[in-house]
Amino acid sequence: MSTAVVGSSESLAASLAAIAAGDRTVLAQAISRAENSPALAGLIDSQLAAAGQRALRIGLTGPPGAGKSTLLGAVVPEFVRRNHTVGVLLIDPSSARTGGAILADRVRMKHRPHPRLYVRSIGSRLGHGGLAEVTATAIRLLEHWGADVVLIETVGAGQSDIDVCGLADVTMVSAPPGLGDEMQVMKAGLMEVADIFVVTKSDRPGAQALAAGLADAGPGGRTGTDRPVLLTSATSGDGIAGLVDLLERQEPTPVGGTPTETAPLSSADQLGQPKSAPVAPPRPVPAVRPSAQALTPFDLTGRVAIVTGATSGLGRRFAEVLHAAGASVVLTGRRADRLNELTATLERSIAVAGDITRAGDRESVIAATLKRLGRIDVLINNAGVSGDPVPAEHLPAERWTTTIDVNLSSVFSMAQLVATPMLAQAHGSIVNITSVFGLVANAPVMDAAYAASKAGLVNLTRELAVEWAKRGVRVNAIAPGWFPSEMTADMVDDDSSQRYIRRSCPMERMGREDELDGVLLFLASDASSYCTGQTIAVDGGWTAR
Amino acid sequence: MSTDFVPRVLLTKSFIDSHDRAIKTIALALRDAGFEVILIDYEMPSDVAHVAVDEDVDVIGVSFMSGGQVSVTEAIVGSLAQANRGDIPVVVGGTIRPFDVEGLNSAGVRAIFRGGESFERVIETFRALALSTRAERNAAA
Repeated sequence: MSTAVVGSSESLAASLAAIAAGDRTVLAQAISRAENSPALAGLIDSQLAAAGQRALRIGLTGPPGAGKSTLLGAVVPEFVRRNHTVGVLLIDPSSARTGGAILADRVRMKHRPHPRLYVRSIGSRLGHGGLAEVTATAIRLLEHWGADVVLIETVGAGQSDIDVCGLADVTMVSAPPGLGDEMQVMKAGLMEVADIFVVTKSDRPGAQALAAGLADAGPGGRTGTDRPVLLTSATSGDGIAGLVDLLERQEPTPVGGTPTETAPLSSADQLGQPKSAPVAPPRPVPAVRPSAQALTPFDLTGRVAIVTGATSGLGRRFAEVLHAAGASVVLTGRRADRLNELTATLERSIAVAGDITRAGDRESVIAATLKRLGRIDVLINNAGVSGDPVPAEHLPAERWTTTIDVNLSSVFSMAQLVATPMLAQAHGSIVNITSVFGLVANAPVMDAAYAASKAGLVNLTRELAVEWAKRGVRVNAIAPGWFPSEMTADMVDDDSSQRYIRRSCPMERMGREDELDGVLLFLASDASSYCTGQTIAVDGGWTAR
Repeated sequence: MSTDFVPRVLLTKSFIDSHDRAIKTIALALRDAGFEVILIDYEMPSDVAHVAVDEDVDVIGVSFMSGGQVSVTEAIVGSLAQANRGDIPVVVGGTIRPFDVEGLNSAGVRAIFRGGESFERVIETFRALALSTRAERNAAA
């Protein structure tokens, strides 16, 4: 068990060292001890004061039922996704009669555990102003643990529970539609301490009117700027990225700094109209920064992608496309010579030869990737087999077994293996290469095993997508029609095959190799960040009839 | 700031189980007895251990309605051990079938509430376990 915090200065030093090394058990126990011992809290404060402020401290307050915890449930994962280390303090009221408390903010602040996220519920006990007395000490401990962003959610605030603004660099006041009339907005106290207004539950009636009223609330004693008003919906995710963009642009100020010292907010952040302007509905929050380039989400710089079946055809092309978009690529396949040939042409690539149907080979691919490149962001499950057409009644049992093993079972096993690191980092994209013959029948090119395996892959994609959707890992599929590859080499120059394709395909031709590039890049990258469980057919209209 | 011992307990049920009346009733009883009660709806059994570590709780109470009484409890106890917090006692309550009892005891649960117990007994069980946990932790420090 980890070393616990005690009151002596020697053991406190050891405990602080453990916290600085990332020991969250000691961190948790230190906060408990500080809650129960003012003397120890003072000792911790004095020990950590010299280090100064290390994190952006963000206060979140608002009336009970304003959606604060739900908002944090959307904002916090976004901070984590952007590689911040985040500490969260959730403060709920303690009973003045018994000292007991229901600390239930976690029920609404739904999130997955993450190594760079620490969340702590705190009873207000004898604290006041919407905070607990231990709040400042807990913030310092979180910063000592490594948090570069600390969010503090106050108790559901009355109009004068405003102490959080004395601890935070920036204070958000959340307000849901139905807050009250314009007179409520004009009052001092809670509404005055807001550096940023967040209209939560923006999908509900009255949100636009409330935002317009808040935009007209004036600077609250600040000079030179009105306060941004952002509309958010944790349910749909609308406005969350814009809010985090805005918060990331804030800069820490010394503890005790006043809200007027907060870094100025640009006019681009202002969602409401200036006070002097006629009242009008605020502009919607942009999903990305106005300066972002349209192609930026397709950029894979810094990402690591594994491509199975990369020795030839589509797999080779996929590896080249991902590499061209900036990714480091891991090439797998059975033929080591071909892999080495390809890696020689790709600057950021490694080859791991092996048979994807063998568990040991699959594990070697993952282990080599993590050891040499440190992470896995993308998996392209491309390896697959098919055979000569055989009527279903004559299909050999072993052909069935082999096809299912390569095209379906191995795909699932690879997805399982990459899920562990992807879920831990709350980010990842798996792209399964199925086929139009996972969507419609293969016949007259009869291969029941192939059709069944690819159809299974379509619904495996849905299942994995839904299971992992909230945890940052997306799973999608591409269903190519007829493309040139080793599998289809015999068809390219065969007249009867070409007649069959012209007859069945609305575009009357096979696909070109480059005609999968766009959809591959879309699904592998953040360009498809709201897309999961989908199978996109790239088939010249084959399945549209 | 209080210097009295304030026991912290984690009460939890599966997020997919909407039967929350029992857990809310126990939460309020514990609150009124001076406990700090952290509530979560877990998605994975390992979530319970993760939150228990971060929240530094003294006792974990798991409520069941429909299934998984033994297997989920075993997974929670296993996750706590993995996190080096096997010292945190686990109690279970709700729909606990007779044939679950042996498995739950084998898993190491410290108390089983199958319904009909008085609030006083529940509260005192939680309090005694919390005091024991905290005393052991202080002794280890």
